[in-house]
Amino acid sequence: MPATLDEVRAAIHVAFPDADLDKIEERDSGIGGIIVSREFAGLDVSQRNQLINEKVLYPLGLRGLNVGVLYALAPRETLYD
Amino acid sequence: MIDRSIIEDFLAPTISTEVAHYTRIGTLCHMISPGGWSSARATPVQFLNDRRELALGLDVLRNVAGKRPESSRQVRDLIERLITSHGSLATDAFQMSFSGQRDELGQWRAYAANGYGCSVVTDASAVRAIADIAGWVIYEPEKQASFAYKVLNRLRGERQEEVLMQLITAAASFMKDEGFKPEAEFRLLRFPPASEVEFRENGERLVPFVDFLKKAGATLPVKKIMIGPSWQLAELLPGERNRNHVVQGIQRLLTASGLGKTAEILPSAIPYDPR
Repeated sequence: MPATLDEVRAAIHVAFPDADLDKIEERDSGIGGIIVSREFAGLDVSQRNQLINEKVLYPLGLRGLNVGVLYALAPRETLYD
Repeated sequence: MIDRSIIEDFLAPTISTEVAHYTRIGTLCHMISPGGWSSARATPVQFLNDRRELALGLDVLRNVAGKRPESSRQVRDLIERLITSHGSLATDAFQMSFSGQRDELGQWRAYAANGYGCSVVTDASAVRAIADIAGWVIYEPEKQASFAYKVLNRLRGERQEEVLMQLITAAASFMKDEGFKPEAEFRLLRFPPASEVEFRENGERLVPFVDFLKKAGATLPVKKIMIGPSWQLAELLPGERNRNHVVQGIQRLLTASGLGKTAEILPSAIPYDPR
């Protein structure tokens, strides 16, 4: 079975304990949303994505195929900067 | 609905000119039916033979998006995600390739049964009319960077994730390695709803496709069918050529489809012997 919203939120919570999980939701394009964490501060876009891949997506394996876009923001950043 | 001008405004203009689709002769059986060219299958870019080709365009976009004036974090994130993730049906760009060169050896060898296939010649503006986005592929690195800059600039007001991903994927699809320049590719893109997507088997794997002509009940004009150089028809005398079994089969198909008086059959002029 593909990963559920609760499982993805749990994986994010383990990987980024300070993230607000309410910003992760189920969408038509898959489970996605914004992860706001201090861990992303000072990292570029590529490094942030790599961190999400390694800590959240890869551990889910093929069950993570229904995970869509997870944006990575540091506190006080916005998506439309 | 995707705003095609965001991409097409920055590609070479599409005028009424001949473009050719290289394929196996056997494919004509399902492509052409009474009424004309009525079936054409577009496949997501990442399922094509050269899966890296989308990567090149995304890389150009990533480089340009990261330079001042930087694109929004959302756009930069989405480009990165498209580079590193599995993609999705909602944002897959289904494409079909045509060429401004109807008789080009590289394409005969690569896409038309090593020269035993054919190229079906139609009109670029007719192709554009049934596409979500269509245009000429860009091969030169400087022109690619300029194209990426202009497209990213137009994306500044857009925030809808799915639309952004489609447009980024579309933009990347129109950039290819300079080594493919002789192909002079004219590319059609479609972003179909999931309900229109079908699947076929290819080498023990499943490949999604959309038959964009059949679904729309549309046809493309068939101006010419060019027969590949490996048949070596150019060397035959006209009488022998017309009696050739390959020519005869195609001629019968065109006649049965009502195209016998309008579509011309031509031999490749390239002296290529695959043996």
